[in-house]
Amino acid sequence: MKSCGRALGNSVVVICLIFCCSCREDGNEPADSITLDSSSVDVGIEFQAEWWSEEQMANFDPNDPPPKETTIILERWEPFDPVEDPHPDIFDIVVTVRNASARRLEGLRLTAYSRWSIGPLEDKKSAVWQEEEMTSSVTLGPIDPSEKRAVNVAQINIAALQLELYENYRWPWLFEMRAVLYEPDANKVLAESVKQLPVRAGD
Amino acid sequence: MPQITSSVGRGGRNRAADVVVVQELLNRHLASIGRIHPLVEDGIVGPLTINAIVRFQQRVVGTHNPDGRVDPSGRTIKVLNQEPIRLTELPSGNTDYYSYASADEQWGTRNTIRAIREAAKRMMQETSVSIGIGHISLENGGRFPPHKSHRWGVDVDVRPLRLDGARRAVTINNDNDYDQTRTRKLVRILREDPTLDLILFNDTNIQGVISATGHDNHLHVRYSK
Repeated sequence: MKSCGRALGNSVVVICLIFCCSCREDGNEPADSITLDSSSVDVGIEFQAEWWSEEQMANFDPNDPPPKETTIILERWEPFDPVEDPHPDIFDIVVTVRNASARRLEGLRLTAYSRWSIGPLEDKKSAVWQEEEMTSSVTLGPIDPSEKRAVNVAQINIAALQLELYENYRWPWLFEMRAVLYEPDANKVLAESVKQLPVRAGD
Repeated sequence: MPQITSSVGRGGRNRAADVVVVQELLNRHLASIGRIHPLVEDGIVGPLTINAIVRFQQRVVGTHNPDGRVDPSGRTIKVLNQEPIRLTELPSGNTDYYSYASADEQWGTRNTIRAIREAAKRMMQETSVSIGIGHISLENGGRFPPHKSHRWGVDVDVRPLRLDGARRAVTINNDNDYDQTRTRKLVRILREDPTLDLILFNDTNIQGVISATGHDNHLHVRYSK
């Protein structure tokens, strides 16, 4: 796997650890002492897609393009160069959970939410956030100390959305993914990560 | 030039004679509005006719909020009366330039194809390098996702030149690969064409270009016809 090697731009990666849920939803104190804290886990988000390799791009025939078989990490979607700027039709959202504690983690729940900022094709500044949707919620299997678990939480068909919006001269300018890791037994949020994918329109 | 006496389409007066005129005109622009089968020229406004008007307004007129109606003195009837767009394909197999977009994405007006080919030829004569040509327009013009423009065969994307001459993209921030001297020469040659309208490109150390977001790795060249 390779990174497309670009600066993140206005993409923001925020890994914030939330300490706010020390009580149960019913207001009672948890029965057991808390054994995990925010330093126990790291959560990250990657947008992954298939694109052409450097070798393929160096000998590229646009009328007979080779299959896209190289996994890249997408930092932004932009179409300015049809070959060398990654702008896949579909991308995967992969959430990574790393166990930074000395004990095995079990029963953690990972919930992912997504939303789009959509606006006129000619006026990015008028784009507005759409309602956030839950895209996935899974209970993770045991994670050993130092283990990093990758979970594919969703696949996004950005091309289909773009075509639908483009018909009405609109564009999805920004995509945002939020992943929240819970410890259900303690009713506690252990970690949250947010990542954005800027989406450019061609000139 | 066919005209109408009252409005046709959604919410229009829809006199049969006027409707026939609009249906005939729409059928001349079939390719541009993405229809395979012509409308029946029966003087009756139905969903197919209204849909064709909406698509024509969206794709050809460039209306952001199409109303599906053709008015006697409106812009839609004026554009309907223009000749349907006829574009020319950028020839392949030319050593003066290489394509980094597929052939179906490289259609331009006769003037555009002439101008960009002449510029490429001069670049080859003066610098011995071929230029990379990307998107121009689709065969029948009209909207070209994900582009905002590139609809009329007058916009051409061109890669900046590289120091190593490789047929690859390069950005102006890549000091190791970006050939500013040859790119400056390319801009000078492009600007000598009297039909050049503008060049969008972010290396503002080169005279005659206009900076615009996203133009670090290509020159957006627009001709006036």
